[in-house]
Amino acid sequence: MKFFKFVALSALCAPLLAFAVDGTAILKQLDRNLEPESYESYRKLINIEPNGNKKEFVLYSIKKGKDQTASLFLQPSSDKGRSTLRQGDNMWMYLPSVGKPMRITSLQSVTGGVFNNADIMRLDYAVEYEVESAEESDQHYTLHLKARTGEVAYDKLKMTVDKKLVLPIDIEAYASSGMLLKTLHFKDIKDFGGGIKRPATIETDSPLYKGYKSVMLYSGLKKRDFADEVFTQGFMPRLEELRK
Amino acid sequence: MALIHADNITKNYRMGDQQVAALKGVTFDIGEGAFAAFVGPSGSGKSTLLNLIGCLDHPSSGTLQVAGVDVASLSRNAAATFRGEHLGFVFQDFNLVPVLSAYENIEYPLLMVRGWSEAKRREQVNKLIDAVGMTEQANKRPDQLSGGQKQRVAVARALVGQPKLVLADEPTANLDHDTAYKVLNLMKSMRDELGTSFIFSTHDPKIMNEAEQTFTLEDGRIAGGQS
Amino acid sequence: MNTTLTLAARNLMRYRRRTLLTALLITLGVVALLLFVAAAGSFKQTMVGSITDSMLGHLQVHRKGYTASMDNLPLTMSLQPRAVGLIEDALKADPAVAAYSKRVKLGAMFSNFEQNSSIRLNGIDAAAEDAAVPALRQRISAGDKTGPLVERGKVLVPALLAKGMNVKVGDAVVLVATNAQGSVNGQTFTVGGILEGITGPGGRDGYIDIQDARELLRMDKEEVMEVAVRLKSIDALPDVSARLREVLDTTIRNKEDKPATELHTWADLSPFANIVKMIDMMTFFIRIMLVAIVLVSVMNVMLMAVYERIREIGTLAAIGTQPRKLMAIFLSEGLLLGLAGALAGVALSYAVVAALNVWPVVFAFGREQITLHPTLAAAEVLGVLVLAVLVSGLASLQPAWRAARMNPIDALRHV
Repeated sequence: MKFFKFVALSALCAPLLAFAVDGTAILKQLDRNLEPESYESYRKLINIEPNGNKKEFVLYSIKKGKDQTASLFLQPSSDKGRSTLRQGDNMWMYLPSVGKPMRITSLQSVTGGVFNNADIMRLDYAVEYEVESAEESDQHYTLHLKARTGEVAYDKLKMTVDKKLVLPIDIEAYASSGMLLKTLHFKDIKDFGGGIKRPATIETDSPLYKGYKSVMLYSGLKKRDFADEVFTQGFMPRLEELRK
Repeated sequence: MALIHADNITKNYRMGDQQVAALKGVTFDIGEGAFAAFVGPSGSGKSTLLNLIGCLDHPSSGTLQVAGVDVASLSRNAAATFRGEHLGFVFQDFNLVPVLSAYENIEYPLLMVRGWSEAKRREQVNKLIDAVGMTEQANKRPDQLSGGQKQRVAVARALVGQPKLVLADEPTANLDHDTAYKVLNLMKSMRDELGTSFIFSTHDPKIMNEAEQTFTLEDGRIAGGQS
Repeated sequence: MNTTLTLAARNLMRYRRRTLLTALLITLGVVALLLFVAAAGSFKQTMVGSITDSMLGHLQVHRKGYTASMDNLPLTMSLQPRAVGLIEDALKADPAVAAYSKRVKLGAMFSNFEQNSSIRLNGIDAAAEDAAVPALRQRISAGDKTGPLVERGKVLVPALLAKGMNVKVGDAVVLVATNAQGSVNGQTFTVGGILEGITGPGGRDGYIDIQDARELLRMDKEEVMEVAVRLKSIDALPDVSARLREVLDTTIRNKEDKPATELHTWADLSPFANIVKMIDMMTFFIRIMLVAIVLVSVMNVMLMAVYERIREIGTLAAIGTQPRKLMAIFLSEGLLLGLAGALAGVALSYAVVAALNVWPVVFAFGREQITLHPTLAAAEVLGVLVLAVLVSGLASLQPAWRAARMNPIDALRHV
């Protein structure tokens, strides 16, 4: 009799086992749903201070392949012409008044506010993180990600993913000590054309910057290919040319 | 006028919870230029009497006049002044200041008590140091002098201020016989030269005989009278 | 009086060893106090001089509220041109002011293109700054030490930063600053010189020309964050700071009609002032210890002396010495003992101080090397002498009083 119960239970579980969550596959799909591997985008960054003051920046960003991205400041006029470049783990900043790019780090912030350079010049999650575990519920997947190397900005991420759309809803970023560094909230799904349908608004806050909030608003996102030379220090003063 | 006039002097002490009557009514007169001895056993009151005459203490009752001054009621400071001006003391143990030379010991009263000028002091001290025959030892300190020499210095010190009266409590007790006589004779010749009265206390009969007047004290009273 | 002193001296010498030992104790106490005062004084003076002459100035003026956030180098609390003008008027009018320097203070990113670090900067007028903190140029360890402190396009880099970022004189570096509006501006600069650090806030600041600073911050008005003031004499500081504070509080007022500026002395701004207070307190305690040593040792000796000479006291009293004279004899003895010990202590202290000036003691404080140049101020030495003598007198008072009060008869009876 016991044996029969066992067989019956196993038979019932089997279908479930066959459908076990493949976290890595989900993450890869999430990445592609957010952005094509190579693209250009227009974003507005708003930093909100506790006293209500706002600082706004408009950025033109491009990406190629796994780990090359660059950004160009369009607004405010005082920052026009400023650009940043990321190649793998290396980042540079270019100021027209200086004329030569300077190395910076991902944890600094060229805009101030809660977003740091790693947030602004983001690579695919699957490139920087690996999935430690994944859970499934009715509406959501929950992915637990761990940084692949020590150079990655955050040691661990906890992603809440919309099951149907395979798009992030919330991401909590943690330091290796377990301390919560910031939370990113993805909102306002919008159709950008070219098959890209994704959150247009990312809000972030941090327990380390109480009262401060930063918002990233996407106004344009398009698949585009670039030559390799675009992502070099020498090209940083010329990024404006790409907008024609 | 007698140099010392004592009328029915008493002196009581408190020793613990006991009242001791050291003098029980002493009356006498001593004139100028006297060479007198108070004799008697210990406890007879001779030291007490000497202290009263020396203005180091007050009688409990009775009248005491020294050099015409009623000394029974002198205040501490006034008594010191009186002693400085009219009295000289010679002690059994010499009591010289150890850090001063013979000359300086003799000079002390003139300097620290009477305030004489340098010149006057020098003259007087030299006179007296000569009179007691200690000129050679003028610069020696007491610990370099014999007992007799020390007492001679003490006599000079007692006389340096030209007192009317010198009181000597057992001045020869710490001296050998010969030296004792020498000192006594010195005192007598000083009396002859300067006219100073000397009163000394003693219990040595041989010394007693040197006195010209003897007062015998017995249990706080004078037995007998003047001799 | 002469005899009293002679008696005192001779009586002291009678028990030579005891006198010498006690005097030695007093000498040691005096030496300890004087040497400490000399060394601490030299240390204080060097440090204070270093702080006021090469960094802070004697006093500083800021917009009210600036110093509370000073560590963050706020850009929103600067003195506006009108206030700056009024401050300058007040400073020029005060005869005690020797010089002043206006400073734009900001935090920036310092990059050698390969790495970057943060740097605290002072935008200065080279000539004014030189007059306000004349010792600043002595901190320049590399570069032009005799020319102007800074020039347009040049930066004085703190030594620690230069070492960490591996830059030397003549290298090109970038200074990037975020201004009050949040926009970022950067400029290339040449390293004009390396500046040795100094303890205290501001000790690791870099310096650029004030016009460069204003350009970097995109300042269109001639705002100033800090005015550093040098006085003709630091001794005038308490009076002058009160005076200037009064003037500034009444002339420069904000919309609520409250004073809009704040004035601080160097002591208010430097944590070293606390060290100075600690040193002064230690001096005070050592002084107390000296008093205790003198008091106890002299009283001890005098009590013994009186006891030993009870019969002598009786004799002197008997032969007519006034009580106050007896008191004077013993008082003089104690005073002489204290004076002798103190004088020996003073002489020894002078000798040691002279030796220390021939073979100086050098020691490190923080990252600086300090050479001690101790000096003994006559007033201090005199004060210690007077103190020692006074305390000796006090210590002898009771024993001398007892001697004076003695009953001659009892004293004469004493063994």
